[in-house]
Amino acid sequence: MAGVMGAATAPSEMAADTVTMRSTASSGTDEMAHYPLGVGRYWVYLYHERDTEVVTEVERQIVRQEARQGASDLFFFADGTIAYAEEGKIYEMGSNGGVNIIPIEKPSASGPIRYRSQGLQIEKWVAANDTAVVIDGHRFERCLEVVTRFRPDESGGNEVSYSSFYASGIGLVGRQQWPTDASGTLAVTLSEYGTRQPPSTDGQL
Amino acid sequence: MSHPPHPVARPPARGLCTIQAGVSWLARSSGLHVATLWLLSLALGFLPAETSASTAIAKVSAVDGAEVIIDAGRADGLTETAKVTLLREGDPIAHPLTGEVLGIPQEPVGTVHIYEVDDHSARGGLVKMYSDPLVGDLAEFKPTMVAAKPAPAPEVEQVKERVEKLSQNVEEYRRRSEQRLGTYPDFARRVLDEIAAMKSYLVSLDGRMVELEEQQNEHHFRLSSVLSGEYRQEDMKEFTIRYAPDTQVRLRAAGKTLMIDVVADSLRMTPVPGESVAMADSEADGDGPGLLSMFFGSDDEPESIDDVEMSTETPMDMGDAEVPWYTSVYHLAAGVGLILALLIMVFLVIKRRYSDVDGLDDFDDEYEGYLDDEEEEDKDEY
Repeated sequence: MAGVMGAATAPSEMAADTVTMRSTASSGTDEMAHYPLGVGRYWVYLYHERDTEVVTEVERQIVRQEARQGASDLFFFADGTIAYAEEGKIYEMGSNGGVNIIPIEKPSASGPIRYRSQGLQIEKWVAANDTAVVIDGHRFERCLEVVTRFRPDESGGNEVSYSSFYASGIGLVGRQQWPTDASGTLAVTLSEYGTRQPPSTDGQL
Repeated sequence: MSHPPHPVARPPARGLCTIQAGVSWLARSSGLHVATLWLLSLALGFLPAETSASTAIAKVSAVDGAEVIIDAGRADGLTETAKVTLLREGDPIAHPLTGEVLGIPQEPVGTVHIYEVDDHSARGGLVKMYSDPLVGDLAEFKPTMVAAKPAPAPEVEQVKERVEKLSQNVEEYRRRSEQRLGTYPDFARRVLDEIAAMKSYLVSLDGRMVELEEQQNEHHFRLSSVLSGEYRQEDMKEFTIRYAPDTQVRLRAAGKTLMIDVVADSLRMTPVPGESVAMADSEADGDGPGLLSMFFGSDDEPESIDDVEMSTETPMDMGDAEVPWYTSVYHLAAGVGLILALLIMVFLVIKRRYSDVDGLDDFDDEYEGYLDDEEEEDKDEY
């Protein structure tokens, strides 16, 4: 069972019975702990397709770290994604182009993050900074809820919105559509995370 | 703490699910990472099927304190009471390794409430401000579509004329339809009869096919049983027909039944009570075992086991044991007499040959005299 709840509201459990949560990492306390970057960290996610029984398992792992002059370190994922933290935001850049900017600090007066990337108008903001998420009976406290809304910047396309939940010391633990529908089913759930020795990356990148 | 205004409540975002489904399908089919494909989906711009009011982009042409003038007006769909979001584009977001521009940040500046609109310009005041607005900032708003002018009302006479014409057309169509429908029952009946006949034929054909199929299955089963030996072991029984030379075997087929009859010939030999079978047989046809046959055999003797079996089952021999030849007195006497005659004949022949040898008697006499002389000489020596 998985669920998302506000800090002061009663838990509202939602159906997600196919995950097995195992943890080998400890939670952090710093501000960047909602998306901890470190070599060896890995996350296994289950993508639940709506109205079907299809579940796709995806694993992400940071395999390498590279220091930069006058800038934050680069972290290389096994799938080719590069990530780095800057000014309270995580920049994820895929190998196929496009950028995903994730605000991982508490909401501030600076307003939402807006940017254009590859024909999309993307807007993100922190909707809550102390939300609890329950996934398969495992409760994640003090989660950060980041709402993403995007639409094509050309012509009038429909807006698409979803909210992502980042647990302190863990990272992304779940994602669901926003605003939440009646079922509240999570489209993406974390099934396993932790730290382990990354595979050899000699000759890559 | 400031939160951006939440979008207006809308039905569940189908577009998101469409994108996720597409991402998952791509991940399964190509083995690519879903997160990468998610970014790819953002890059490719999976567009939701539903469309909403598009946004328009204008620019800030002048700033006067908290008052902002935008270079878009009524002709662009901007109306009074509209809300405009001011944005400022920042430095491009470049890939740290390749330098490729991946995105352009658009920093929110504030929100403007429009209260005066001209054809190509509008004036409004800041109701939310994140930073000081500058000339050249982007002004994003949702244009309102101007209602189209109503079409001029048609003339009443023209409308009446068109309605009357339409009603005539409808009446004509109804009349033609009735005529066509009137011919349908006979045709439909014939079609139904044909269909019923075809149905009955197909039913009978189907029954015949089922029967043939059952027969075929049965034959196949029997053939399989025979080939596998099961049928022989369980159901088959072997029988032997034995018949005498004076009998006939008749085969008749009655349906699936094979009738086998063993019928005696017209000449039937019946043994006489109180006499031996051999005698009866000898006297009957004269070809029975006689004297010669006792010593040299007979042509009627059986040569094989089969013959023996057949001969033992003749009607004459049924219930009688085989009688030896010496049980007949005549045969015995004739045999003994024949043997004595042969012995006498042999004796006479031998005697005759000894008598014919020349000097045999003289030799015997001389030999006897010689023996007598030797005995006398021996006596003298002693």
